[in-house]
Parts: sequence; structure tokens; C-alpha cells
Amino acid sequence: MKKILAIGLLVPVLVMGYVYVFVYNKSHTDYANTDPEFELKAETLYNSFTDSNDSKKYLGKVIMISGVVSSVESTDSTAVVSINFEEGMFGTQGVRCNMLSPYVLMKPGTEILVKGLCSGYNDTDVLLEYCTIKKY
Amino acid sequence: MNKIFLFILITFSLSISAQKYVTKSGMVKFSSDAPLEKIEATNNNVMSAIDLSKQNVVVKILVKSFRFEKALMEEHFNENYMESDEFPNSTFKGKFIDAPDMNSNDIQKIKIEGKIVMRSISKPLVIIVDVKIEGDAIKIDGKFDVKIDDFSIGIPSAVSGKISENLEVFFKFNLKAL
Repeated sequence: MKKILAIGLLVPVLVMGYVYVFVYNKSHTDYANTDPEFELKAETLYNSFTDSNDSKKYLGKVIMISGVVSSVESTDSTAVVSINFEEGMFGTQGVRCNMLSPYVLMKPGTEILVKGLCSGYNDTDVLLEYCTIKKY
Repeated sequence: MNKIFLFILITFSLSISAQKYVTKSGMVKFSSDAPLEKIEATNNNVMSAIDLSKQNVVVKILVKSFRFEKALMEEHFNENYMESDEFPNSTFKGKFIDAPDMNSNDIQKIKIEGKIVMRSISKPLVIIVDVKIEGDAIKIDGKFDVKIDDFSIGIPSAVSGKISENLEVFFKFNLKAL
């Protein structure tokens, strides 16, 4: 009887513990160690948002892109590597890669392979976040 | 002769003074202080542009770029509340009611009137922002409240106690001359 009572108490506690740790407090995805689902040119990615309706498959996915760095800027929280393709009403437009590390030493003109999470397009740029450089 | 030269110089310098200011790394943060739990998220990828010649202000927020402390909250926010696959951007388009004084170093309180569009629903918004001119940059910050009901965001009754009816929204933009 005692055994049944103990198990009857233990099981709900374990379930609640599991839910708390693995569901409610589940950790953010480790994007640096996630394999990319797609590999493509930065320009193809940009055009998929601006010219074609091909962009949905990249949204919310970890992807790897290749391209030539146009600029590197530091913001308060991160470094942003931009690969630009055109001039819009409010400046350059292209792919903006928010780097995981704020320390990015890279010159414009460098060819890079960068991996990150594609968060979408804000009518000027395609945004990649949690980015890591794979090759340059 | 000198007067003509001065006139040309002034006209020239006025015409080349910057009219458009842009940032692509503006910050927008919202928080909901409900009895059970504080919910907070920050977006550091907000695009904002000002065209001084027309006194226009535009803000574009990629909804998927809001970061929460808890991954589950981020998931629910995108999938259940904001439906960010369907409505990827939230925007604000407005006008300065008074033009900021570009020669002042003080913090200027300026009224902006416009429309906020979230989940394809448009609501008028009038706010007073702090504007500071620093060299060739315009710094703007302020806050306002958003009523969740206004944007038909369905909060299930099971969690409605956790989320307050109003969200406090804070923003900070450092716009550089284009």
C-alpha cells in the first residue's frame, strides 16, 4: 500500500519536474551547432524575398549563405556583417547577418560562408541571426 | 561680390545638409507586468527612417526578431499570439508635428502622430518622443502603451492571468544621416 502511495506521489512530481525543466524552461536552440538545412548564395536568398515567392522555405530555418562582405558594423549588442545588393530609398539593401560574437575582424570585399537563423525580410533587408562564420 | 559668394555658399550648404536619417539596429522592447510573471522581449534589429524634408517617420519591426528569456515564450509569441509567419512585420508610419531643431543640443520633446500596424490591424498613435541631435545623428527614444485587445490577439483563458491587458513598449533609435 505504502509502495503504491509512494509511486502515486513520485510520478506526478517527476512529470511536473520534467515539464518545468524541459518544456517551460527549455533552453534556446544552440544555433552555432545546428546543421544548416539549406546552402545557397546570399543573392539567391535576397532575391527569394524580393523577386520570387520562394522565401517561405527559408523562414525560421538555419541556413548557410555565401557572399562578399559589403560592410561590418558594431552595434551595442553585436556585430553586423552586411552583404548588399542594391540601393533603396533609405540606403543599401541586402542580407544582414547578426553575429553571435561581437568581435568580427573582416574587411569589406572578403568572401565568406556564414551560417545563421533566417528571421525574415523587413522590406529592406533579409535578416540572419545567431550567425557564425564558417569560412573566409 | 562677397555677398553673392556668401549667398551661393549658404544655398549650397543648405542643399547638401542631410534630410534622410536611417538606422537598421534600433531597439524596441516590450514588457507586460502581470501578477504571475513578468514577460519581456527585446528586438535590436528595428529599421527606422526619418525624412526631414517631409517630416516623415517610418519604423519597421520584424516580429520574429523579438528575443525572450524563455524559449517557450518566444515560440508562443510567434506561433499563437503574433502569428508571425502570416504577419511578419509590424510598422509605424507618422509625422513630426513640429520639426526638430537641428541646431539644438538639448533634449527636445516632439509630438509624433501616425498609425501603428500590427497583424494587419491599423490603429492611430500619438506619442511625445525625446529627440536629441548629436552631430550627424538623431537620437530618439520614448515609450507608449499597446492594448492587446486592439490588435485582436487571442489570449487563451488559461494564461490570461499571466498577461496584462496593456503592453508597455519602449524604443531607442540612433539614426545616422544617409
